[in-house]
Amino acid sequence: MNLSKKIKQFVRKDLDLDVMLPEKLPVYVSSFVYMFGVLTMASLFVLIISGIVMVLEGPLWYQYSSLGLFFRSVHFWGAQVFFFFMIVHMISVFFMAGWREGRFLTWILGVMLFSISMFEAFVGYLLGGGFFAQWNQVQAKDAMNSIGVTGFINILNNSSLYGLHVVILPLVIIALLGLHLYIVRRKGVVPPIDIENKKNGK
Amino acid sequence: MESESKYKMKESDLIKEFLFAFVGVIILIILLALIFQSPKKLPFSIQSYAKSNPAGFKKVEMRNVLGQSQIETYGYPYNKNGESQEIGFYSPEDIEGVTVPITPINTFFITPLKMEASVDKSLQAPLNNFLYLSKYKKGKLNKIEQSYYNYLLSGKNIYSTQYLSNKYYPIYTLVNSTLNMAKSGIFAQLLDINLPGNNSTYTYNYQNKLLFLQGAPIQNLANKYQMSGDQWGILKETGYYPGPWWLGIYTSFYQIPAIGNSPNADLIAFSSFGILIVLLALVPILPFINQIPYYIPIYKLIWKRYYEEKK
Repeated sequence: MNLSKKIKQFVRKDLDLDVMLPEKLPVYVSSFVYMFGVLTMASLFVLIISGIVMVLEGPLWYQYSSLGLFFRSVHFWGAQVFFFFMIVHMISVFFMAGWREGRFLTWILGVMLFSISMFEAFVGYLLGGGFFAQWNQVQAKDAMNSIGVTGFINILNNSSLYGLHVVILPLVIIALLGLHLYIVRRKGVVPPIDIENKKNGK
Repeated sequence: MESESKYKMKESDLIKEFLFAFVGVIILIILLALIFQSPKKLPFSIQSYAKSNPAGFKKVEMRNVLGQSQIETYGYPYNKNGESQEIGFYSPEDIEGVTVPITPINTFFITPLKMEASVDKSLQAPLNNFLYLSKYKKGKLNKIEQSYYNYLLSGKNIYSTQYLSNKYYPIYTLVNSTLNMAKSGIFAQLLDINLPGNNSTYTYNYQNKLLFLQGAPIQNLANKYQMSGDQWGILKETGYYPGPWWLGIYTSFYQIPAIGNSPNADLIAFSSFGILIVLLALVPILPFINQIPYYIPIYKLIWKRYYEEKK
């Protein structure tokens, strides 16, 4: 098997820009509901950019300087907005039965993104540097201890949390999001439910 | 993509749409950040606790000395003295074992005192006495310690320092020494210093500081801020800021009395949440649940224009 050939074929055929970035979309995509996925992704971009600035300057900067506090506020509200859009996106996809016509994997990837983002954002709260972080580190350690992972990830050790929050979990989220978007484009945007045959759900 | 070609198509510019969404979201988030800012309640420190509640600090230390602290009987991963959480035969804690060993009397009492005694020679005699009594005359020492703890619990403050120092020698001297260290800020620094990697420039592991404060010191403050489990719990940050409200689904498991009051509450809640997430992923193939969108026709609103045009 020639790996180089396989990769070239994949890029040419499966990452075809006409498929990934079309200039025409079906008329039904004009519903505003389709925007919530895009808004979730836009919020993620704001989180990544503000997060990079915070990482460059470090925790003391974003806790004690006025500019740092502003970026922390952007990051904080970015997370609220991100989850708001993500949850509205999930609920609307549910009511559109968005898993139809071979889109089950897209749904699964969405649920994975949702659950990993929940953990990522919670770890972010634990790195906030205030009383909430301390209190919830102490509270959450019981849950982490009960599932036997403290020897691997100690939630009271901020260096582990920092690595998780700024490197490992974002990379997982970006990879899953890339796959989610790729499949959305490969399969096309979910079409309206056929009213005549709606109970088939197929 | 193939499925889209069956439908009437229209011009589209995904990049432009994303950029519009991005600018809109940036403006929204910056406005929220400027108007509401973010939680500012600074962390609670051992130093501030020792200064604001010296009697409370001494009681915490005495519970460490007497083996009555929560960590003493916590079990895995800190020690073997507690019951593991389990669901039937399923107990991940038992598989993990002791991976982060802690002996409260050593970590929170003897280690900081030994370090202090290396620079404060007047502490050496009472510390040696304490260590000697601990080793060879445990019964005698226990009586003095218990008696001093009872005195602290009584809340009385009627005897002179000299009298107390003699009556409760050496524990009175040692506990007050840790209190003075804590007030100065040294104590907290000494707690984590023996953790792997922490005896160097970079100290990010706050495990022992947090474990020292867990229980009464931090719980009382959480109650004051309306953040404990029977109040707002995880949903609330300090002040009027939202906590990670998306975890409300997880923490709601603790509100079910059968789970919240169980000694295995954490394991049951975590496992239940895990099952819930798996079920959410499997919604497309769950009978009845996957039919809800067809019976609650919100989709007719979503694609209203499409259906109208089709007619």
